[in-house]
Amino acid sequence: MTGSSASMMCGITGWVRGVRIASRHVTGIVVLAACVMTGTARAEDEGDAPDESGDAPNEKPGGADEDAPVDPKRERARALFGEGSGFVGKSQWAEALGAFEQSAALRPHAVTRYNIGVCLRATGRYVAARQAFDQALQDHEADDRGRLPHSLLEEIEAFSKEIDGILVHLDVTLSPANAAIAVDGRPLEVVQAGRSGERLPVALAGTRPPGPGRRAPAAHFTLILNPGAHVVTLSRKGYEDAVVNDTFAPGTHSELGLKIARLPATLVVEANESDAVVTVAGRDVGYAPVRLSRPGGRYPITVEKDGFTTFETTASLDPGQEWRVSADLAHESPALWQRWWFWTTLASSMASVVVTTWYVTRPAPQHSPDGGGLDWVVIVPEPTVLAW
Amino acid sequence: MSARKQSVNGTTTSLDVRGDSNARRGGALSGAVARRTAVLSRVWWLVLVCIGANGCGREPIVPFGEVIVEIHTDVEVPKLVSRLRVDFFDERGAWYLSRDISAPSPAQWPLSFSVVSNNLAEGGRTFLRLRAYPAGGERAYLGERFWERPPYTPPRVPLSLTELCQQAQTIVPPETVWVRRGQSQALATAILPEGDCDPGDAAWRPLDALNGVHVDIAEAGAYRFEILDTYPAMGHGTRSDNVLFLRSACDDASTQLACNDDLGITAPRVPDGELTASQRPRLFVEHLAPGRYTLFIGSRAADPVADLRLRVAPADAWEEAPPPETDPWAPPRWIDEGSDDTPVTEPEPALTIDRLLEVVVDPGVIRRQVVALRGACVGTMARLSRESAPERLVPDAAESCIDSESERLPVIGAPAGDPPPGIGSFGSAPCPAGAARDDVVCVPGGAFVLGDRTADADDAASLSSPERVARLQRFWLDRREVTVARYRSYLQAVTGTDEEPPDAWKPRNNPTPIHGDNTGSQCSWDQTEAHDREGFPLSCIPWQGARAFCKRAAGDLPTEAQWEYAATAAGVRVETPYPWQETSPPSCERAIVFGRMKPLAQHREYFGEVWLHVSDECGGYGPLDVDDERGADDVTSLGLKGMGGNLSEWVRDAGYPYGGGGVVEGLDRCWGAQPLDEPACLDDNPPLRSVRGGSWAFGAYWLAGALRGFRVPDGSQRFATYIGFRCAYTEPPPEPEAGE
Repeated sequence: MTGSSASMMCGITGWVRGVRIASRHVTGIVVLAACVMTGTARAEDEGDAPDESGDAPNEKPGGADEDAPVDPKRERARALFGEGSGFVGKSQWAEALGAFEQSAALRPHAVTRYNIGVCLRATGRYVAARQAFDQALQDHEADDRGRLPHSLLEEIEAFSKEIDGILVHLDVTLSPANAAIAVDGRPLEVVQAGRSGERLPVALAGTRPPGPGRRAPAAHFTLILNPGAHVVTLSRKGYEDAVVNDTFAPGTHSELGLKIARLPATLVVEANESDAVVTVAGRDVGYAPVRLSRPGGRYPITVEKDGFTTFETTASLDPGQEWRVSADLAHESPALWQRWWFWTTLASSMASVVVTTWYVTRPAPQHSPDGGGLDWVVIVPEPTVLAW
Repeated sequence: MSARKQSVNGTTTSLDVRGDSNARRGGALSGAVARRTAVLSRVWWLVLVCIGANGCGREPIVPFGEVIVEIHTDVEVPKLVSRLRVDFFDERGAWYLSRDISAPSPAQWPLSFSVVSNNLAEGGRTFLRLRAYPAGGERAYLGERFWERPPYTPPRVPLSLTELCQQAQTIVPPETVWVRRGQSQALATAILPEGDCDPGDAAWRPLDALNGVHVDIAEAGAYRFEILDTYPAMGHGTRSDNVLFLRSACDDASTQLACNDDLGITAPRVPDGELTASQRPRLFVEHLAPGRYTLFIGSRAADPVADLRLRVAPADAWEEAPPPETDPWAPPRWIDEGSDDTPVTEPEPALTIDRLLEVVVDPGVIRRQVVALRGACVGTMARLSRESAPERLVPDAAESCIDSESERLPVIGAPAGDPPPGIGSFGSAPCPAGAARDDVVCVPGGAFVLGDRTADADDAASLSSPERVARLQRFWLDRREVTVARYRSYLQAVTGTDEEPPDAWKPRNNPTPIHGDNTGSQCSWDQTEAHDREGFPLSCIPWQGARAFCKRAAGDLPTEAQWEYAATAAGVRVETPYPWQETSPPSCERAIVFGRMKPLAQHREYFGEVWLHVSDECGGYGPLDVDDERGADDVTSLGLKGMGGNLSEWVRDAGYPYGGGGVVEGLDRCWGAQPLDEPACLDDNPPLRSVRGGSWAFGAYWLAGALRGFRVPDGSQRFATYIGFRCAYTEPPPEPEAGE
């Protein structure tokens, strides 16, 4: 057993003994416990938590309420509190925690919250323990959920200081900012900005029930988590998942950059004819079939072959998706204007005019490239001017 | 005439491409057509007159500069080449265009296309990378690095201590090397471990196999010596008891510093592959002063020849440095307007003719540039720059093969045109005219793809890949597997002469019938001639005995390449996996001798789970006469019989992997060094020899010609009832005499 857990045990067992023997020297804890147990009208009405100089403890739980109507919820809370105390005595922290949490759910009280904090601390869940102590202080200040004796306030201060020295603080930077993050399979609990000493948004790990990751509070935030081994997962639709498996020593302050890369989409264009030229977004990408990798987005696609109707479509690619299209190229059927007599008539009436006009106004002299057997012409690019 | 737009490196240019000219139509013109033609010709005369009237006095038309690149090849299409990858690089070496063209018909060749410059003042210059390869010969794009074929010398086992001490290889820690442990009686009796490794009891016996290495220690300290792997792996029927000992003076036993015979007993067989850490024989020496030492590696084993991967390193720096996590090399990529259009695959270098070409387009000049992609260049990768890992082509340094294997010429200054070769002329060496013989078959010379990447049986696939192209001279091959009768004639002829093989090389005698019920021996050799197996193929013969037979017959065992070529590619237009020109495994209805052996418990016990190919799917038992009708379908297009079934066959090569499928590092050195011409992994005393072809004992899958099996060459383990052989000859052997 470590030193800190041993001292914690002492604190708890003293408190438990107080409940059992109802000694005045164990004081406010006992009275408070009694208040929790009995739910006296005084504690409720006056909101006056007894301290060490307060009233005598009630040796008979529930005795002060003998005349008042019995509240079954309160009775159950009290019984659970006592059960939890019993577990504490046997160092069964997990069972004690369960009992205290059930008790607090039925009847919230600062002392119960304090006890929860102590149990969480004993089981190494420092983030949750720190939160429970904060909650106990808030309950204490709210007046309507019991008050804590001075000694417990000091204990809380000491525990909090100790836990702050143990917790791991990571300055997390996410890219992209709106990815879902989870630690050990649990989403983060986002704490409002303004926590003492922190300027960045703060999120806690390990306090939420298991579930899928949720969006982080900001692209740059502080993550507080228990020391030890953790698995941080970052995911977003259309991106590759990132999984970071790391072990953090107690009191670590460090930075953690998490970046996930976009998944490219795959575009497959096939055709029922060989040697059909495929253009994607206006660029010649070769003969079908082609297989390309592109970022998500919309791409106009054409598949052309001489003597066949041109196939045109638009691909809408989601990241990571394989988009497949098969172009069905059909033989062009000759239109009216493709009949021989149409052109003969037109040619004989217009030829001299057209040719003369063309010759006079023709552009720079050119010839038709041969294209070879493949009927393929490649233009040599102009030398690029280097800009440096 | 159709207009098309092409976008090249940010410049969109409109250009005209000549349409299909389908004007050549036969048949007589009808009257109507003739009248129409007459009218049209008048109209065009009018047009020409107009042009002439207007054109007088104008400057002549200056055409664009154009080079029509015409690509020829001398290899067989589509056996070796059926696709062409064309990559374009600009003047600075940046990749700006790529296209992959299917051309599986010889009629499509030569391929041609135009390179045009629309700069009327200066023309232009561009670089082409042309890669011709067979369909399917692609791999994922790696942007291959330049790779030079490493040399390989078969390891040698010394015959005496003096030879060992003079010629042992020297290693400087930390270093990992392959060492062959081999058999030498003189060596074994001359070198004995002492001290802890010499228990001095009756069970002790000398080492069967041995070798040694010199170790140069530069820094004093603790050192570790360990055998990382053995080849063959222990699962291959070997049982090794390795002994390591270290001397400071090679030839002085009294200088032994350390010894470890820690396993002491036969090491357990491992299923396959590498030794686990706990099975590796190792030796620790607490302190070694600087100087030269000799490490001896010995073994007491039934089949002691083995290759050992040995590592020597300081004990505190044992682990090899891990490779860098990220590869800093960025291969060349085709980036077009910010979009990465790099093809996702590239031709497999070992199957590819890889040629770089400079194309200079002069303004106003139209010319034709002929380029020949020659088979001699298959597997000789082009070098894009002098760096080992270039990101772009460097014009001043780029070089590629023109017409000789492993020779590259600079791309700048190379001859502007090649003489066009005849398609299919590469490697062609037809058989001489003459009457066919019944005993041998002439296999015409040629080139083919050795190996088969598509083989998908567990270990066989990795042994048959990667593929490579091999060119073979013409040779002659026995039409049938060597029979019992033929061997009997040989033995009668050589008995009592210098050529008589030692008993260890002779086949195992089986004086009993071959029963159909899995009992008794299945060896075909019978000294008494009592069982009428004279026409059966000879089995149960060690590799050495088979080779001695072929040598006496003025031949040799065929190489793996010769055997596979004869079984899958010779005399056919397209390679097929099975010798009878089919692509699927045969059924039992075919007249092919396979699937006739009931798997017995001892097969599994002896060979482990790897021994999966024994099969009785077709019933029956044992081999059959080489001319039995039940094997009549097992014949190649050239008439070779039994290349698929009946018996598997010894070939001349050592049994080493080609390099595919996660082979232990260094085991592919022999095949990695082989050239295009007559590749063969020849080695005097390797641990394993290669065996080709299926047999009566195997299932249908194993009848494929490219699959390989390895076997300990001598009879020290067991005589293989499924292995026979046939002989190959560089010249036609003498005709057999009558009755032989």
